[in-house]
Amino acid sequence: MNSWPGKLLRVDLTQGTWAVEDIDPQLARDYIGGRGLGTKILCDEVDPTIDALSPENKLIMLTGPLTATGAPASARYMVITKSPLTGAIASSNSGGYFPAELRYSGFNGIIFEGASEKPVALWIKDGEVELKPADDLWGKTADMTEEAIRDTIEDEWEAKATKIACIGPAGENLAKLACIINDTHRAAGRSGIGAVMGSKKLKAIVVRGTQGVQVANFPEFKTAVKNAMHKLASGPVTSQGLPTYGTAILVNIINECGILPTNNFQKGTFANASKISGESIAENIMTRNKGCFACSIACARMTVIEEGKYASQGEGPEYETVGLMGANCGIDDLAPIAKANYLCNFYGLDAISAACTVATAMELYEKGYLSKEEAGMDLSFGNIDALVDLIKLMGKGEGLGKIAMHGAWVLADHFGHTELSMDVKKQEIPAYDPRGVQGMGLTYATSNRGACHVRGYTIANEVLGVHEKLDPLVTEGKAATVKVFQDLTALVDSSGLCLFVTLTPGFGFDDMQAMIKGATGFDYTVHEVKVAGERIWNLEKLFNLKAGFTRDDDTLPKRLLEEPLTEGGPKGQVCRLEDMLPEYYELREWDENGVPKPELLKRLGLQN
Amino acid sequence: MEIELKLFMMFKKYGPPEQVDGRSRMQIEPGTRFIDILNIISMPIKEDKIIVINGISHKQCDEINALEIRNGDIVAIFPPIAGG
Repeated sequence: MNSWPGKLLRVDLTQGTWAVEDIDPQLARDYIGGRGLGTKILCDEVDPTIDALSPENKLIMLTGPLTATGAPASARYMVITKSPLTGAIASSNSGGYFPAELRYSGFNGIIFEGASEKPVALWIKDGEVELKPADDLWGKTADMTEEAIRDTIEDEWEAKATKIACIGPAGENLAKLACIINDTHRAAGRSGIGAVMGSKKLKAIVVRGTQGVQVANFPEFKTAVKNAMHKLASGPVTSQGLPTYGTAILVNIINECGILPTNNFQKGTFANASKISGESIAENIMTRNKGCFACSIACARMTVIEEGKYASQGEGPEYETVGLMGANCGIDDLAPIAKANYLCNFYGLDAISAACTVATAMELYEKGYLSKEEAGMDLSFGNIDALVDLIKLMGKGEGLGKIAMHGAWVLADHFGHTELSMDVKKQEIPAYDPRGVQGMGLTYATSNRGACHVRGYTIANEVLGVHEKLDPLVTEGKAATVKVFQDLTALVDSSGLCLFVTLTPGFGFDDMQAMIKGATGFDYTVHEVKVAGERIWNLEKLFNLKAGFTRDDDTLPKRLLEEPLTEGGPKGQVCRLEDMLPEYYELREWDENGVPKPELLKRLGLQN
Repeated sequence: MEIELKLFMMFKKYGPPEQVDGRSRMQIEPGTRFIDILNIISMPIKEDKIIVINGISHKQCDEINALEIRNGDIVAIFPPIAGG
């Protein structure tokens, strides 16, 4: 019996009740699962103009048809809701082991509605559901929450096999940068979804399952998976580079190309980049690599800082973290970066956004807009103590952290200088300077969830030439590239696979179609799954339009549009967004205001 | 003519003995092309690589192989990599 589309658990936290629903097969077919299906449910059930932290918002957790099937990198789930950080749609992605365990427990997704008066935790064990009080867990960091929960499970093996997703103090404090942590060091990171969970007084989801997952057509599925695995095993990125050096393998090449954000995007080259690179991590602080469920890429790092002020251990840092806590804060020392990274996981803060917020604070301080008294510390670029101390304050919601925990824009606005916040739609920009890689500027500006690098990761072709090599400094052709990457990513995010499967030559829509068809039994064609990706992207856009977003929000900070980089390969360049955006709207079949045209909506089945 | 050569990760093995962390200065004749640099350091032509010359990235192709390297150029060679 096929495990997809399967069952959804709908939990009313106000009443403390729940119900089990069958996922509509037609919706599952049209929206694939994960990000797509979650977006469809959100759009059908939530008014886009509500307050994201009100009980009217819903927190939707959904796996995809490939999650837990043993397809390559099939570890993922999505959390979809309205973002308290941006006011736009939020869909955050995480791997590890919790998502697979959720499917094993008998549910392919959970919808949380309303809000509990007191802290609660949802427990699921092979279809048995319970909402337990969580007052004793409230206030604990994410790692301590997991430990406390496991302490209550008598059988040691069962305790280990149980998987947990939870919020830390940041989510409890309704920090706009709060995330949801699973498996201690994995994060559904961006867009403040942890605050939504906190507003519902939901502390943790605890799952244990032994039901396994069945696919519709095993021989067909097996062939498709074998082909995909062969591509991953023969591609150098997925078979050697990432396992050996992790995502921070990018630091040196991104710096060499002059696009490593430095001192809050004031520059694109950092003198000591190699000290915080993937090679340095492997050499100095890594104990071993680690993978998510069913993943051969195993790009995660288990790391330890053995001695000194920042002695600690955990997982990470990733490329974004070393880029943004390192170069972007003027710091070249792995110890405070690793420590600050672990703190983000313990407190439940998005490491990307938190790091950018620290960099913003440092520039406010540098320019004299934020005093030492107000900061409570010396916030100079390069001050390693400031990085760790400010992250701690943000995690606890104390001191300057009380404002900074809501992100770079809120912080910069508080001190009267929003031009120093490097964000799009109030979500902080990741570690690639778009002045030196034009397509990424378009990606950031048009991403439905605010500045995001993964949903349209044109770096793969513009800098790294994974599938084909494009010139990073030209704008011609970038609109088409961004659209294809966005639609493919929407499909991958909806399937339950990790985006990194796309980082191997030759992997594309046809591989996705073969695996999804075999798993679901729906007789998808390649064209149909391509259109599904496009449909999902447009549905997200419709949500945002109803939430009040306009063409004016598809933009970049003034610095990146008007102040040229002063060194390196992209010296003299700004991001020429206006040379790409009109063509992008045209290719998307949107009008000049970025509104999807009626013919497109009809073709995609989105007309209303 | 002098250029700066930067080799990364497993490509460091092709560098000269005096290199520091994969970086070295190389004396070359005028008219030296990129493919000649590879031959000088005995690096296989066909091996998959990403080339960054003066901060601009390239994948290897006939055009890049034939590119004339000039005095003061910075030539960086990476194995195929990607991340997130």
